[in-house]
Amino acid sequence: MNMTDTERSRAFDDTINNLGRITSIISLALMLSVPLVITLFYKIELNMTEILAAAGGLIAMFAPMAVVENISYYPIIGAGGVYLSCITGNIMNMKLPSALSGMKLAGVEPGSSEGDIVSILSIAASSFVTVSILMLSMFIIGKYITPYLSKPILQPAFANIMPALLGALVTPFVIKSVKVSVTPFALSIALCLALGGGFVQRYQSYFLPLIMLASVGAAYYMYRGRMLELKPDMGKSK
Amino acid sequence: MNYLEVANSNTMFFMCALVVLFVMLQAVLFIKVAWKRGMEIGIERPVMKKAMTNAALFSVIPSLPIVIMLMVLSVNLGQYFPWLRLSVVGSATYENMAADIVAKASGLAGIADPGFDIPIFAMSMWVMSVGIIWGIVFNIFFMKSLDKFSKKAKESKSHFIPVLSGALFIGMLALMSAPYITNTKNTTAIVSFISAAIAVLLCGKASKVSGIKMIDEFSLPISLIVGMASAIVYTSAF
Repeated sequence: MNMTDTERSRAFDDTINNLGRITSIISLALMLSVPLVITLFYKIELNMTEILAAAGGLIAMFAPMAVVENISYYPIIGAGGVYLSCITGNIMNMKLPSALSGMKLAGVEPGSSEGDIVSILSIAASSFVTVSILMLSMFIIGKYITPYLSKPILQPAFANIMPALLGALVTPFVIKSVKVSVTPFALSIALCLALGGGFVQRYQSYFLPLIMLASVGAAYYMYRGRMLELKPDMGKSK
Repeated sequence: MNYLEVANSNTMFFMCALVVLFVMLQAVLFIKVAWKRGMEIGIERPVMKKAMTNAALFSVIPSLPIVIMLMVLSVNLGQYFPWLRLSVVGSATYENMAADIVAKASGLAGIADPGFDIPIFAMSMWVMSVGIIWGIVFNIFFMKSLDKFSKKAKESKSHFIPVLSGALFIGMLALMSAPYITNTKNTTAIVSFISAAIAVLLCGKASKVSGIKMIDEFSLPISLIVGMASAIVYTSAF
């Protein structure tokens, strides 16, 4: 077994992609088998046209969004991270932050081989916790903790998870790379002021590639003009 | 027969549990593969452990609103199907919206309408399942090619690659943050954002000054709680 680093790295990528594909196919089949088995088991007669009409709107809305989002997440959390995140969901509020803060902790860059590993580990751990909490809640603790969690005094806290999370995530990265941050922030803020924050949020998936491209474009311009200070070890590829 | 008898049946429980267990197995398989590869490329064991503990701990807080949603949805959809939907791909807002669309398409006022019967329940299950699977479908067909293509590009060993992924995720975070920062009508969100930002910086400082690495390692969960708590304090004070 004398493989070169590149061969090992390719072998790992193949393993992840095969594992991701196979587990995705099985999960998908299992997910769809739930309504299928129930429909057959209870001999429920369904109106297919109505199902398609109702699902059609959702599909038209969510399918393009899913494509744009997955392509946007990929460079940050890697293929393994995307396979895992798409199965358990809650990407923006849990999986992405878990992966980013894991990478920051480990001192590795998103998109590097090390970054991809740390992403997979963080996202899998996060999935595990959410699934376990929901399981426990359904069986036992849900009845007991819901009255506390629904207390009006706590509502502002739950309503503001996203801004709090973003504040904690964004700040260290912005301070670390002020120059790269200027363009995407200026553009996003301008968009919100011009079109309204609500509108931008609703069509976030469609603005996402736009802002990401602009951000990369500006970074490339500064990189070519040698306006960015690169750490000596940056760009090493393993 | 009432639809809730179907929704709370053993068949339903068994089918849902099967999916949830498989999703947990998937997470374990990914951890195994990633851990092995992490050791191979020289990421230290404690670093990987740290990333996972951080992700696990952090994920507890954003899971709590999902518990509330589980309790809310189970009133009308029985306890098992919402458990499945929220454990796998679903998000609180999506599930509510999808179930509501079906109820309205069937001429009811909403999911709490007394006219909600077994066929409508089955239809909800189908629509909720089919509407949200597109990220997974995309991964099955295209993720491997996307990964291959982008890994090839990375082999150029350009120094721009780390700058590129940095610019991509700063772009994403900027677009997500802007609607909160610019919404002067919702000052609570701005307060949460800023408090969490300050907290994360203080955690970094405190950790450096005191030499206690733990503070920096758990800066994300700590800052998230600080941001959420400030929302409570701010709303009750003003």
